[in-house]
Amino acid sequence: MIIETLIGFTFVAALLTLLVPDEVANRVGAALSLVPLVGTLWMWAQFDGSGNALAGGTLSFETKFDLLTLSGYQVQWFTGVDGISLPLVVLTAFLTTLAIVSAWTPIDDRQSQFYGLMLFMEANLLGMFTALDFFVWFVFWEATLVPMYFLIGVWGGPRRKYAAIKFFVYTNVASLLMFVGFVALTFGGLGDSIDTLSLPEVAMALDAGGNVSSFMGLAPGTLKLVAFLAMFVGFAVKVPVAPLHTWLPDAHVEAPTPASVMLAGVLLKMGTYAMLRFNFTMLPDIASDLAILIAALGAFSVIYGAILALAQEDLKRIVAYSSVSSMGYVLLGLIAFTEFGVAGATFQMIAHGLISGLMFMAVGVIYNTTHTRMVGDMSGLADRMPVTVGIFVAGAFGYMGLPLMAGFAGEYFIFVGSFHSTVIPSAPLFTAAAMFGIVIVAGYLLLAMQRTLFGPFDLDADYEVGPAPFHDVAPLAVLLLAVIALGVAPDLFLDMILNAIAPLVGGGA
Amino acid sequence: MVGAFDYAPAIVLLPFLSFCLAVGVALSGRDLLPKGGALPGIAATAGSLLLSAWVFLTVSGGETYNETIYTWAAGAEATGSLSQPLELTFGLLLDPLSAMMLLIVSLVALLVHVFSLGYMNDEGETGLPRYYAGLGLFTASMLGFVVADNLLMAFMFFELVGLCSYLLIGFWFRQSGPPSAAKKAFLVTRFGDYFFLIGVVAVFATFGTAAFAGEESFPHLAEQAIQGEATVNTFLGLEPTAWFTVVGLLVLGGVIGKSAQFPLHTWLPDAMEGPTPVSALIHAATMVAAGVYLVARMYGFYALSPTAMAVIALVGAFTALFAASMGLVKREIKQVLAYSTISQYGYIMLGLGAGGYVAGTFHLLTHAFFKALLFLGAGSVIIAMHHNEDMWDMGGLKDRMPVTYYTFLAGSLALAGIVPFAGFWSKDEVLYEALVHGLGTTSGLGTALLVAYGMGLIAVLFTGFYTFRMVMLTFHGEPRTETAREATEPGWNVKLPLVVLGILATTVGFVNMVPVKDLTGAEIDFLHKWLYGTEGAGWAEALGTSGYNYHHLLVADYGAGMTAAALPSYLVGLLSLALALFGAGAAYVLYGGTDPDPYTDKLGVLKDVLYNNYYQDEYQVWLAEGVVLPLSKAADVFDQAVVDGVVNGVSSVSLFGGSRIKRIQDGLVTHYAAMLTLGLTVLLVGFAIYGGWF
Repeated sequence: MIIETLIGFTFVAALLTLLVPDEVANRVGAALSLVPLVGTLWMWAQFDGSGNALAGGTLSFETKFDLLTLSGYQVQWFTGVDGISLPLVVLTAFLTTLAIVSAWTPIDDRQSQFYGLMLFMEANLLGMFTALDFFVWFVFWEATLVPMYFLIGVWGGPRRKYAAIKFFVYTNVASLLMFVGFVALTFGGLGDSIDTLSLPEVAMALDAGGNVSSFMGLAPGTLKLVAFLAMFVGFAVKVPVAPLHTWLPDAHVEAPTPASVMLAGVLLKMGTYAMLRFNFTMLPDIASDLAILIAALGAFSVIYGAILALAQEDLKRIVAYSSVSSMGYVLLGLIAFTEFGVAGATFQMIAHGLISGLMFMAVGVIYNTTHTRMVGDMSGLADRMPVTVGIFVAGAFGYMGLPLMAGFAGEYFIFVGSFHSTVIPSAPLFTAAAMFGIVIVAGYLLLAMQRTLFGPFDLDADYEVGPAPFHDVAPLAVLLLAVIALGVAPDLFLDMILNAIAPLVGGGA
Repeated sequence: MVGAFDYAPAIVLLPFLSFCLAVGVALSGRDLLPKGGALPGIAATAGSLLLSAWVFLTVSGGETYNETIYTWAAGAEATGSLSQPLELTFGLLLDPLSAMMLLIVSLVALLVHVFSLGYMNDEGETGLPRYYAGLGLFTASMLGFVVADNLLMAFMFFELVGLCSYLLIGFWFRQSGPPSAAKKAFLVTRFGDYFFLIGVVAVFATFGTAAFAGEESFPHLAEQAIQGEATVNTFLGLEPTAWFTVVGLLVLGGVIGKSAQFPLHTWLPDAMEGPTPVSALIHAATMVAAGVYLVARMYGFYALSPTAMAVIALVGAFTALFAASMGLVKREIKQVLAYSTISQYGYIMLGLGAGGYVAGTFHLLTHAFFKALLFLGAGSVIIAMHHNEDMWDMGGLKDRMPVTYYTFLAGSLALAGIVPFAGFWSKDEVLYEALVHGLGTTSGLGTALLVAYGMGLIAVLFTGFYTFRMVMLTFHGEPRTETAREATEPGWNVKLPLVVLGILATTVGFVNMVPVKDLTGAEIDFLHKWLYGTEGAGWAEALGTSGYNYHHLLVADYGAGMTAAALPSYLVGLLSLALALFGAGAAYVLYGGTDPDPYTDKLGVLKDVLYNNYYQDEYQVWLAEGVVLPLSKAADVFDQAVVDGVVNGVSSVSLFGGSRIKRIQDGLVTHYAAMLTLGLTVLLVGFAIYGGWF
């Protein structure tokens, strides 16, 4: 019941925070967020699951009971974690606490609502990563949109309304598409061969083969293909896979720093997590048929996102586009259907969550101090805020894939995994093409750092520019340490991930 | 029994600890360590040196070490085209090559630390903890690279070396030059490392392992695969031989970047923006050396491919000549040294590519000492000249700085390749190997080696000239400025490293006097014996990294297929010595007077081309700023107008209509919550009706 306790507690904590006065909301929010953090760390320590949640593996912290019946289907409260979801659960709680602390400086208005929404989002994310019944999962999935909508729309920048609406509508339309796809596959295709929409049951029914029947005039094979595409496109918006990415830079630029941290750090992973669970676990044969397309999309996202990042003048937009690039690697790793490809993709979700969180926070700290994020507006910040800049540089090198930091581990696993893939045709060429991202990422980050952080100090400002306060820098330092720890000892998560993805890659799919 | 090998990890960890300590001090913002962190750095590198010496002695006793010490990531099953699970590990490979390199790196690092006391501390520099943190991490990364037992670990430390170069070249970040140079150094080498990384990934995918030495190493598996004794994966429909050549050349991309070979050499002259002791470290023993060391480390793999060998030799020889020609006309002392570094690493590449495993390694050894010496000597001059580096403002420093002068002279004689200084013996052997294998080998590789030999030989002439032009302009004649007139020699912390390196630059060549051996028959080719071991026994048999193994591969018809022509080494040596003396003599005649003229200006357009580095920087900057940046701007416009335009278009047309968007922007979020619910309901109801649930 630990999962339910944590989710429940976090919902209550969100309500409590909403009720306290604005002056203390920051500390109350941070303190309350420690409970799910400690709880998930405890889950990590106690984790005893094995195998894949959707392939008959042993779940850890499993809870299952019936809720209600919906036209013949039993809706269940069904939660539990395996080696894929647990790292994401830990990431969620870890980043939420740090994002809340990083909000102390920039958020100076309606604090209790802000921190309440942050916790509300955390509760939904925890639910989304642990739920294994489609109905419950989908409720959490959709409900994460609401707090993010408000976080952007209320505390955002000048074009916050536009960005929030675009974010909401774009990802929501995508969700509907995904919903149609899944429902067509299960209600339509599987019909009576299943009696719940629990994800393991659906996955195993599909795995058994021959269960899918025609639906709306679509032959079983076509139905699976259509369902795959609908779900894939739906999730691809969330990831985001180019060219479905244009909501992301707008959302990031307008969002307040802590919301950006959560958006890049956790919400994007919802897309790849769901892809892994639905597309690649339930319909691996369709995925293999489309391998060349998916690998090409992954490589395209990497290069296209990186090239766009190179053109940006706003530090936050640079990091935003670089997320498109980094998430492209995940897609490439997933479609490889090799041990290191899929495990690397999962690891990269965590690594990118930490590193992009770090970078958005670092940009936020600079913005708190300089009140600008435009590359051309400032130079030589290293002179005034050496510690922040030091961490910024370290984080940027993490983004560039410096060995012994988490990003290198994730990317390297993906590269080595996709290179020897037997699913992707001409795998070495796709891998090599995507790998060129490591050159472009160095280009745009080094260029931006040279212009803003180094050189003679210059900023057109009538206010003091000095070192950032401790509570701004501390989350950065914690994140950096986490990035290094995972880079030196990837086994902190990799072991359980490998264990969980093994059923998906056995025999090269 | 606890021996040197048990302590070997400490060789890497000690400088790393000094880095951690210095970072801690830098963060505290207070002056917690004496000399700003120099002393822990000196102690750490001295400890590394002692341990390296111990390892060296142990290896001399015939013992070697090849063990995994940490499993970084390990798979459980074979997937994709692999036949065994992947294991990504860290380990130590301590054989004669790495033992020798450990000694070089830790010694030069120690001397650079000591020298920094004079160059940085005495000059009232701020940010010293940051400086010593950088030096410590640099040393640790390089040492980690040297002892790496597999290609992935080597790559990882290779990248860390790149990071450190970035941090140290950009040390004076408040000026605009150093950050730009630092960026360029990292970016250009990253471009090379891109190919290296593909190579690393390809090695794993091909062999399932990236170990350098032993029965299960990838060079050994490659050898067996070519002979049909083992099966490995090949990709893109290539035969094993062709695929191995591709993989070897991919890894070579990283070598060309780090060792500043054409066309990725452009970062190195800019890197002179860093503090001079850092230049010494980068050029002599760490970053630039890392590239060629990698070729030597996986020589068993390259020796299988005549094409790869030819490419290595030709790239090296061309770079040697190309860089030497640019060194002829430079004004600043460090620029001359920068181009000489590029050129000398070209020679090392030439030696390795020409089948001279010992020759290339030998030149790596001698160059490390004489180039460290020259950079530190230049540093001493720069201190005395109050950080003016223009040689035309110097002159007459010979009498004012005698220790610097005589040690610098020793280094210059070594660089120019004048007998009996270190560089003579090693450069001579490089050229000798190129010539005999070029003459003896009948395939295209032989022709390539002869061409390479020719370029290397002309470069000898240039080297002699630019070296002594530098010596004459800096130290001889009359002082040309007030600063030069009042120059005095810095303190002991500058002179001590110079003297140590001066002695080494003079004598280290004696470890492998092949021409003398050929003349007298005395068995004095110690380095040769050191790197060869005993054929078919001991470490040479167990590790497969000895000169004997490489020799077999080089001459085998399934390998590079080389044959050596019979030529006495002393005759070949005399030719290059004559050219070096001619070049040096010409420089002495032209610039040795009291008030020399800028003769190279008379070269006219040619001088401009050389002075501007054949406009190599211009075209690379144009590629970056004239092609890639505009391309990205265009992509951005496309993204905003077309990709996002479609999104906005779809949303305004089919979902809301333009006016609706405006109305919705009143901030009433309930509209969206309603829309979400509505959409869901419609869909559910739709399905429900269709599915006949009601």
